[in-house]
Amino acid sequence: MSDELDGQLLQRFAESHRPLADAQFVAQIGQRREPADALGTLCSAWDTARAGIAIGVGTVWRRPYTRLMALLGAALSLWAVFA
Amino acid sequence: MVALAMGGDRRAFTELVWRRQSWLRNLLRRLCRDPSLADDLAQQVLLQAWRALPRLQSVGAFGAWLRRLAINAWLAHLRGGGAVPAVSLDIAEHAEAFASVLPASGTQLDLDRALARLSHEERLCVVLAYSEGLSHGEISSATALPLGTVKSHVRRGAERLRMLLHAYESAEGDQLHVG
Repeated sequence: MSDELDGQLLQRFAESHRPLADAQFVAQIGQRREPADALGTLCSAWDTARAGIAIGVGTVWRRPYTRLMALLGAALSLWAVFA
Repeated sequence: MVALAMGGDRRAFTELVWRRQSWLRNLLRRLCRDPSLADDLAQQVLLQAWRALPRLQSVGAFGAWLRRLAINAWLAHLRGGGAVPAVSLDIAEHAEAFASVLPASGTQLDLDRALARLSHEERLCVVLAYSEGLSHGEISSATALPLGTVKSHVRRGAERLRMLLHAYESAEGDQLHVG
């Protein structure tokens, strides 16, 4: 079956479109946006902090010998505890 | 305008709301059959759009993206059990019954009232096809319904709409003759 649609119904839908210009509706969006913005700022700060930590740890981790040094450090700690 | 709003420009977003609110509310009114619920969902959609706008990948996709948000909001509302039950009448068998449910006072049974008699899924598919101009494939993608189901809903929904509107016109004609 093709996507062919009924011409008369199409015309009826086109004719029935009602423009809804409502200043109150737009004003309400503005009012409801304020708390949403505050929450958005908090979420954004949290995301930024998380991204910063991830980048910091990732950058250090990618440096040469870092993994080897970490392993040596861990081994030294274990030796210090159990020796 | 969309690009400015994506950058967090409040005035640009307000302008976008002015430009799109009529279309968005009309779409949701057709789906919901309840103007206040439709307006509430439209506000939720626009607030969601404001928060997610910086992540929009293409300026040109704004309209389709907003439509998708509206469809998702409507489907989420249905899943949440907040739907008004559809009037279920078998039009093919009870065409005469439709004339009898028409108001005797000459109040118009317009397209919205005829749409109200379709099931939620039929109405969704018919509105997206006839009012929004989406292809069956696009409707399937937007609603996550199988393509065959979409085709069937559009075909049967349109058939039922035609019968309802015809019943209305006949009843109106009868009233004119009586008058």
